[in-house]
Amino acid sequence: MSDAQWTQPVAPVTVGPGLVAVASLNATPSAGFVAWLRAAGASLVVSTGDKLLTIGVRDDQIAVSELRFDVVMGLAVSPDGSLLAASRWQLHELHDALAGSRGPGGEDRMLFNQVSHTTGFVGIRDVAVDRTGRVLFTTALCNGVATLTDRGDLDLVARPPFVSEAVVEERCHALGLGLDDGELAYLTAAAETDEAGGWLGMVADGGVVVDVRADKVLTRGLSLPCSPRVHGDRLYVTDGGTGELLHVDRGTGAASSVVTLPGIARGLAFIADRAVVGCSVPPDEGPYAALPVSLERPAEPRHGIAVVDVDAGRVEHTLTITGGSGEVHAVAVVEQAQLVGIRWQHIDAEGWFVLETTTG
Amino acid sequence: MSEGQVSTEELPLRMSEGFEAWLAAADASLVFALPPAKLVFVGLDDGGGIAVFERTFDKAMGIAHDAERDAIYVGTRREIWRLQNALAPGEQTPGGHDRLYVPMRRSSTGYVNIHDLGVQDDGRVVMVNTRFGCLAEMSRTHSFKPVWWPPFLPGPAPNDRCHLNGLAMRHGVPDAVTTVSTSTEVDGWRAHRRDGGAIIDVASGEVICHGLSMPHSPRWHGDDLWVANAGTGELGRVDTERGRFEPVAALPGFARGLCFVGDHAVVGTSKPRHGDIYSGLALDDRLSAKGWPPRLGVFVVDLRSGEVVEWLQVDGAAREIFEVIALPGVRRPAALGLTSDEITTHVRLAGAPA
Repeated sequence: MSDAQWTQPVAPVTVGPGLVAVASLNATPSAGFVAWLRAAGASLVVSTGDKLLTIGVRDDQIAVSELRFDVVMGLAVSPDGSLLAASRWQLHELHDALAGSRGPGGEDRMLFNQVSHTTGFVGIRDVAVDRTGRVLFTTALCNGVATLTDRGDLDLVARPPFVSEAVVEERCHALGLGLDDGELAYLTAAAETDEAGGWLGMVADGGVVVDVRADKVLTRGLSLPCSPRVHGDRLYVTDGGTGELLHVDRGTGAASSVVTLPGIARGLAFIADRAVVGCSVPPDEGPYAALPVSLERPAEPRHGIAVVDVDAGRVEHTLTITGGSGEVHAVAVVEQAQLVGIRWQHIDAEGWFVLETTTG
Repeated sequence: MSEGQVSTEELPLRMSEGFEAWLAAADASLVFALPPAKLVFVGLDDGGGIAVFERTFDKAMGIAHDAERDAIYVGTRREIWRLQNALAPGEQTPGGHDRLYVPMRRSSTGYVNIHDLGVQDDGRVVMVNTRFGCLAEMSRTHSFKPVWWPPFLPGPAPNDRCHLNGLAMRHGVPDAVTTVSTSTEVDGWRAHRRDGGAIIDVASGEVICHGLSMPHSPRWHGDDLWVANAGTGELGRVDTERGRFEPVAALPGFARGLCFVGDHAVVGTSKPRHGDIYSGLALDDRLSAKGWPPRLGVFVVDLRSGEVVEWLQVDGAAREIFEVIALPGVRRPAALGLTSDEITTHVRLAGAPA
């Protein structure tokens, strides 16, 4: 057991208000978004391009905090409240420093980038913490789901049945992973192939959902399937290349569309009975230019997140992000926190320290 | 004395004639920290010539080797890095290096002015947190976890009262520390640099030796406690019964950074600069009386004679060396840096073909 105490230095505190109106991008909520988020009592974390954003509510206004990396992709909020975020060659652990107190800007959480594990550039697009506390992540380079050993090596804990070996060579482009009751249950890949680079020509409709425990392909014919999530015994997957949120029958693998978003659908988390889905403007070039949503662009492609009523099959609220932002890679939820600050401690917060004290 | 030139543009080095042969006989490599930016590895190539490898870390200071796990910890300005050897026993890199230390974990501490580091018997690292005047462990969830502080201080606080700086580990636990003073005033140590230094026994909290001048790098070697009395430029033993410092060797600089290889000590020396915290000390008087310029480098001292037998000197703009450690049984170490693509392309997948 430990508790936290704030220690104020003798030097002037250089930390400003924890949350700032982000100047590098604009986040524009739809009419009901803020009221919904406030009622939900939660905050969102979004990775977009080189930015990690927290999105919360302060004084009935949207409040955004930003932390920059070289690129930031997979995200997860651990059951203990810590945030895991993958950048280009590291997996970062951000831990709450407030322990129930209030931060300098009125935050109810303050996440410090406390520990970073070197992974190498292995393409971590999805992260989860399993029931045992083990951190799992997809690696596109190594075609499956991996964890870190004590020495820091990657240990591949699952790969699709069609990938014949543990190998450092991108074949199927593993994208998403999903837990069921805290246990690794699903992974998604851009293509069902065992050939080096094989996925590149197959993004339009070669994607699969793999049932890890049954070691079989559950669903085929998808386009860049990401973010498999079990919610209320139902399996949802974003089909990035069609912009759809799909419901996948866990027995038969049959997929049905819940809703279609105006862009690449990637990143999925649930708050109560609402799905929060990331949406990115389709690119004109690169491998994703061959996606259906890139070839037949929506009339008004959007960048941001959508709040979806999965039972009614409609988008209820949106947050549109414009300016200075890259693709939305992942979405996560911080429960019971309306204002979450994030800090890269050794740059932003050298004036603040949190001392761990043993209390028994 | 003839000298071997091993200069690189960034790190101009000179060494004594027998340095390479000594290193070969010692069957070890050296690693030293050259703040503000460098961590330097010194080994030998296949021909027995010196092989120097350097990496950039922001204000590298304390270094510790976890021999059991073959990992090196480096304390930097605001974080501690763990560098893990990635090679299997007997394996070499294509460049002929027998160790490849890869920065595998970064732990934030905030700016706490990390000095010495130690590895405890269970593998946990203990740092000298000079800014807060305490020994502390790394914390996954917090900046650090204070575990001990001198009894004359009220507790960990960011005001560097006594300049707690050195740590002697013994049998896998922190045994003794050095402080520049026993002052309880904020930043008070600066007034006590000539003779206010002390060695404190961690278990009892008692001062076991005082009257030292900016002591650093206390180290147990066999049954003897050694310390670098930096302000006089001397290396010596501590008579723990009588509480006396017994000088063994005089060095041409501010003595700080100390390790042992067999019957030799390897001591770092830094250059005092007029007006800085290393100047105005007995060291200045001794060097100027002899007309010797202060030197930056590592000096090999024969413990039996107290003579400097070999040396490696760093020329150029660098002024300080903080720590030097030995890697026994390592011939030619290398490390990955944080600023090149190597760190992104280094992928070790268990069970995968190499």
